[in-house]
Amino acid sequence: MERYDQIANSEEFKQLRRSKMMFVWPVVLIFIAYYLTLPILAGYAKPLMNSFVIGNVTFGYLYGMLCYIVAWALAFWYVAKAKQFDEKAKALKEKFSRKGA
Amino acid sequence: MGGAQLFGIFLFAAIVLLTMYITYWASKRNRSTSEFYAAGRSLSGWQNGLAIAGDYLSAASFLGIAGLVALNGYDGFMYAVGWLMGYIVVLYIVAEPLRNSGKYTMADVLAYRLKAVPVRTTAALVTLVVSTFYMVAQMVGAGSIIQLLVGIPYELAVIIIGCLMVIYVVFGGMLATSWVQIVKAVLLMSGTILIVLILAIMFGFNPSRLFGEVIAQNGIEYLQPGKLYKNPIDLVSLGIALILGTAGLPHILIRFYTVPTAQEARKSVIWAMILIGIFYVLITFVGFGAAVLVGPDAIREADKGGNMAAPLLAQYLGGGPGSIGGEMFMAAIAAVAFATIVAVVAGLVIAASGAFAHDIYTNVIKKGQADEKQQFRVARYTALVVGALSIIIGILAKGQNVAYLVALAFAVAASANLPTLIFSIYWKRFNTAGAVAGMLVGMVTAVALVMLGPSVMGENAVFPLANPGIISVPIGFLTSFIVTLVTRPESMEDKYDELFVKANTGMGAEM
Repeated sequence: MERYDQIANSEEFKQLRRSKMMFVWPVVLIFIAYYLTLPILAGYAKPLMNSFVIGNVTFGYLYGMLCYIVAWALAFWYVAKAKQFDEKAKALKEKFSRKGA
Repeated sequence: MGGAQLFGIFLFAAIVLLTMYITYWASKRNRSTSEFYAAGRSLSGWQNGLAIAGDYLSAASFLGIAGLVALNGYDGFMYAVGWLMGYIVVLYIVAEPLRNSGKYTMADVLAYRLKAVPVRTTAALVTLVVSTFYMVAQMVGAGSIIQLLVGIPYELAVIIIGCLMVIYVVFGGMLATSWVQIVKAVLLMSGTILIVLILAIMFGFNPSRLFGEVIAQNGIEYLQPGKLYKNPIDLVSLGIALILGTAGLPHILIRFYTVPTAQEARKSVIWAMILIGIFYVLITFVGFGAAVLVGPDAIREADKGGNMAAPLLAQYLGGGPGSIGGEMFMAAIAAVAFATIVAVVAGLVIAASGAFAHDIYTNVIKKGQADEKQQFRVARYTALVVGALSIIIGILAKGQNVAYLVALAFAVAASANLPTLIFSIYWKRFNTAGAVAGMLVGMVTAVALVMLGPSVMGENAVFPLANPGIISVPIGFLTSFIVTLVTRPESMEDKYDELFVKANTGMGAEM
């Protein structure tokens, strides 16, 4: 299976790997930290969470709803990004299957 | 017997008949291990997305969270938010590499580059522990909910559900289980949407009016945090377990093997996130609606835990207690709850069977030498035994407070499975010692902290938090990391390159 380490050591794969890691990890870590602000605010910023923003809708409720919206937005962002990664991966596969043959 | 009761029985029978037909249809295609564990990798992205939602949304979500919101307001809403968030971790770092490099179980990915016997044994043990906790919570919940809703005895309810799940899994394998989960997801979403639609019409599609009514009826503290959770750190700890645990739940992870490619796996997470997110947003409206229209006192009277909030709201919206419309709507919601339970437990049985039959039997005991026929037979026997054990445990655990077991399952998944899974895929230096130590220490820490905590020890708790995640997750990651660094590197680095290329390109993925 030397084909795999040929690919692993190729410039193109290293670049694909780098761009993927640079996208995926920061987003996930920031998102986790962001989500944990919800229980922290609920515990330590009660006046803010209890304040009414629109009619009887509180800031705390809107902040919780924002978590859903951010999660959905990140999901669609990932799909858009992953299409670029797919193309690079496809080019890699084509290149190396030609070489291997 | 009243018309509404007949209607309820008719609905139950219809669900059982439909799922039996699915199982009969699936059984004709269920002829190999790949069919049994992975539905022949034949599902499309949206089908698997619906099935993930069906696998994930349990009765605890449907009845439990509606009750939590109806009795505690904002804290219940905040609790509900966490259940979607873990899917970002699933989507970004786990789903596609898992699909590209594994076959039937989570351990396949670990065993690709680490020493197969120790990691498979440990991973299978963790899978069995997580699935057991989850299963006991489902079975006990199921028994008491069915008893409450339909009036049949607890033991009988557990036996009926257990037998149904065994039939789906043993005869229809993953294909039948997936379609049962799809049917359940459709029923559950429809029931929830219908309730919320009627509520929305009553309140002029204006959440502010509903919240105004909540303030008038239940007091302003219903919209404020702190009614249920007194210690914010406990909630942060639960949040950590939820957001990191979803990506370590074996019964969710194996769903990604049922689609043909990583692209379909990706699509399935998107579909699942849309459905699951909408569900949790809506279920909190069901809870607030029940608080206003049924009232916390009436809900508590029906069930102390609040599990009757959604059915009682349906009864009210249908015309009230005693009316034909009310009783029929309530019977319909009871039928949906029933479908919800059987779909979740069937998924758990497959996950547990895979851990034993594929990891332990085929790859540890037989060293991968079992032929296809033997593997298939052992997989189905295991499912039968797992199902029988679940029924027995479910009956033995009658009356126990097991609600904390679901949160514990997430905590173990986050502390034991996720670190190993992430390091296996993304860290070249990772080794077998780190994986085994991380899984065992992560699991033991999570379980021990819960045993020492208020859920089990009550007021005498040694550990102050009900949720262990804030301690056990870092311990799981650190143990894996440190043990790896102090032990010798493994000479399987070329295997890692192979895994990483496969994980990121889909080359050589199982078809």
